[in-house]
Amino acid sequence: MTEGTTQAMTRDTDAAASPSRRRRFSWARRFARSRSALVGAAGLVLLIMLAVFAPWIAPFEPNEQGAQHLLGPSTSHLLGTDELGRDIASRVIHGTRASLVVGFGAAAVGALLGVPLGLVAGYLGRWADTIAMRLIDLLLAVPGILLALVIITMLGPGRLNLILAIGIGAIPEFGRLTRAATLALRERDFVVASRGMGASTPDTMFRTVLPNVLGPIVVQLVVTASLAVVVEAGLSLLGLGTPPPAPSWGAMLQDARSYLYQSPWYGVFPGLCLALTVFCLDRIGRGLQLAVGTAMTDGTRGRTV
Amino acid sequence: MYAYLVRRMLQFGVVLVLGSIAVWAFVYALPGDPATVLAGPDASDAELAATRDRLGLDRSVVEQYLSWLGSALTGDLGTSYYAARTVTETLADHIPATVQLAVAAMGIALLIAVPVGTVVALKPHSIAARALQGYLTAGLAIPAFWLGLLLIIAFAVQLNALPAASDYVPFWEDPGQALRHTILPALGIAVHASTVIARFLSTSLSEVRGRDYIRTARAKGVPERDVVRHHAMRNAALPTITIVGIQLGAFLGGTVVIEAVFNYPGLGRLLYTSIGERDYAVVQGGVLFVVATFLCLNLLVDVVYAYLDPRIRLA
Repeated sequence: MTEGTTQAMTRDTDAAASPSRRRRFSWARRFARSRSALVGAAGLVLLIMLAVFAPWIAPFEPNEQGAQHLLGPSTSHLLGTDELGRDIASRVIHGTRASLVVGFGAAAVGALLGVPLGLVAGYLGRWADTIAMRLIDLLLAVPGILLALVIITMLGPGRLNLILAIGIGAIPEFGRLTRAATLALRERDFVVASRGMGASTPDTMFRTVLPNVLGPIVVQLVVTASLAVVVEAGLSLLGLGTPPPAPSWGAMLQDARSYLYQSPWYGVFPGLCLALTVFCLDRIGRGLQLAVGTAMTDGTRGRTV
Repeated sequence: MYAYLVRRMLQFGVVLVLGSIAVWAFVYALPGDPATVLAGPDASDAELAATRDRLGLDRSVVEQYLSWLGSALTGDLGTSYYAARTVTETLADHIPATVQLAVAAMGIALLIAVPVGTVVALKPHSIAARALQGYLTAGLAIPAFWLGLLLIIAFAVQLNALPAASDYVPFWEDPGQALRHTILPALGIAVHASTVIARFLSTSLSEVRGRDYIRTARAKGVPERDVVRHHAMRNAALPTITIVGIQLGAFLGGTVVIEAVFNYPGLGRLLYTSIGERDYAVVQGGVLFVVATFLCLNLLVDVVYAYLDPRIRLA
């Protein structure tokens, strides 16, 4: 590739970037017009603040064992105390961290692995497509929670492994979505032009095709995060998620199971926070979906854990 | 149609083989040596070697895989490392429980989803549809295992009407008891699944309703009821079948958490406890069963789909 064509290429991608930036702003406008999407976004901002400022917001240290055990809600312990005398409200607030970090982390892992897979499959076609699709079929054949369970057993406990284990289960959605979008784009004029000007295959895939697939990928990121949050809680409930004594909503639900008769309210709030998180992410996802104009993804969305 | 089905069968075979390799490799790569655990901490080297030899752990990777696959194909999935039983027997003990739970859950989910999805799609601005939208939003956000926990608190702890821990009672032996033990976990799963299915059905239904053939049907004087039943529903049901198949497949292997919450002796809890006990053979067999079941269900869905949709059947 000569100097001249490289420059032409750069100009070309710059020129392509500006309409896509304009389009992004129009997404934001369309997104903001949906009240339920805004409610979701506000809720998520609130949750992120809870996670970031947890030490200042929570009235007690999450692992402080001062109080009497299994107290009911009162003015000093808003949501009562757990079996070790720890303040449940403080643990719920700190638990936001594990949920959000793992939820979004897993979504990011899924996108980082799934998007290139889909790009390669859709753009190269032939055997690359066949291999990628069978790999995706295979990952789809194992329910997400079971896959995460097996991977976490193999990798061992820890937050990073947890993110990886859940993220791998999200590869198929990102892969299929990117592949479908790439297939639709690859014979379009601007892609053919990029190839014609001598751009290498990776260049065309990542710099010409990818920017035009970003919309649905962003939607999928939010949808995946909402599923991953639930899987994280499920794994923590099984004792294979966030390692104790770090507070996590799933682990609190598991502890609550042992004291159903002494303190039935124990498991109510961790679960409620979990449901609220999923609710906010779902609202945002729907809002984005309408704003970006992608069709509903097929049945892989929302497997029951 | 035959070309289409043959291609799907081939894909099915390829993925199943890949799956068997992956399942086997996953378990092979797990940390911990079952021989040391099984032979006990005081075992001599000779005892360890004997245990390894008995379990076949001293052979090469490829040999171990092929011999496992060979016997798996004849229905012999090995012996559970701990309980002195074959894996096939152990699985056979737990699979019916999960199947009963999955079928009950899907039954309840469909009973909720079909009317809800229809009302939301056909009368979107009615008060009923708005209320049902609320159900769809809440039901999707509430994780099945938390709903399960709440149901236990309400019906077992407070009302003392149903058992807090569910046993498996085969439906054909004692329908009443079976219902008592299955209803709560099934409901826990069904609410979430019903919202997914209802959303899907209502989307396809409102999409179909704008089509030309619906207008034609109305124009030639078909009563609205029949338009919905014969023209709209039949077309909207097609894509919904896919998601029902996928959900059912997920139920058969993915109800690990809800089974743990209810202490329900199904496949999910078996896999979870086997992982904890490092009972590799059971995990291998169980996951392989889950993968194979899911793939078979998918294939079945494709066949049904092709049969029902002439565009695929005749293409």
